[in-house]
Amino acid sequence: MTMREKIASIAHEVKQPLAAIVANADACLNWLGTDQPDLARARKAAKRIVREGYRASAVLSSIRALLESPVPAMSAHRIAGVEMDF
Amino acid sequence: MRGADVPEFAMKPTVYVVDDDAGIRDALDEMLTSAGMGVVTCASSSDYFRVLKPNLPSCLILDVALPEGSGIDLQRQLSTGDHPPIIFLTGASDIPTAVRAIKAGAVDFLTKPCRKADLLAAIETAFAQDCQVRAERVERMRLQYRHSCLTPREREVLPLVVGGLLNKQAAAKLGISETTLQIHRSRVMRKMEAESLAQLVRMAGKLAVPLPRTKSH
Repeated sequence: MTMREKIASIAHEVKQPLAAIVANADACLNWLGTDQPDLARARKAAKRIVREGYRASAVLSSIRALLESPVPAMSAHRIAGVEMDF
Repeated sequence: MRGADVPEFAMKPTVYVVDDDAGIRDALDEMLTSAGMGVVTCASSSDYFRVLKPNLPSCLILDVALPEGSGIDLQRQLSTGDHPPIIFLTGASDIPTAVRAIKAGAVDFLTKPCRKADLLAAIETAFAQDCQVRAERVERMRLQYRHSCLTPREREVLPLVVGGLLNKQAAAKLGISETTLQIHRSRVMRKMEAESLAQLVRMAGKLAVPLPRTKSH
């Protein structure tokens, strides 16, 4: 996977929970914004916002692992055994 | 699938949401329900085909990336028959896909997360489009029914009359007298419920009645 593909994939994965957060927040405001607010449904939507927030965070954590390429390990070697190329 | 068997939605315009992401399905369901719409959610294209669709104005919100074939594939599959107008909603906006979707007749191509106002505006456009398509379909069926009530002779007279032939010319073409042709013609007008020749011409256009060939100049 190239860096560009990695970034596109991250963006896609993060946008899902973000879109869900925005839609749930809009729903929450709609349920609260009437003459007789539907508190139960507003609460349900708010809980989903929390859930999706954690999901976005989990996506970012899992993606950090994807981006971190393994650090080269250093160890001692005898130079006599290495072929010289010049 | 959710919402399909809830009777309280029966008379509301319905939004079908096809998205493989459960979080998105729940959120859109909640948001659109809170905006007063009937919502039916589907996790895949095959779910969408299985769900019962009441005969109501509707639209389809489609994710581009679906597990079994893309949303674009579903759009292509649907294009062969009657289907509700489509709004695409995607996490990864790429221009070629958007262009293809719009060229194939999609109402809009929105990216996640999208603004509520944009989505509701697209849905409103889609509902209006669907109402118009439905009205035209009913009108076409009504005309087809009336056309089916014509006798074979009247069906021969119709294209000649709307094709602009004089009574005399049409009568000659069928080998009947002008008076007989006039009788057929007035019966055609009555059975088709046309108040004028212009109206009959428009009806024939909607029915795609093949017109007689006229000499080219």
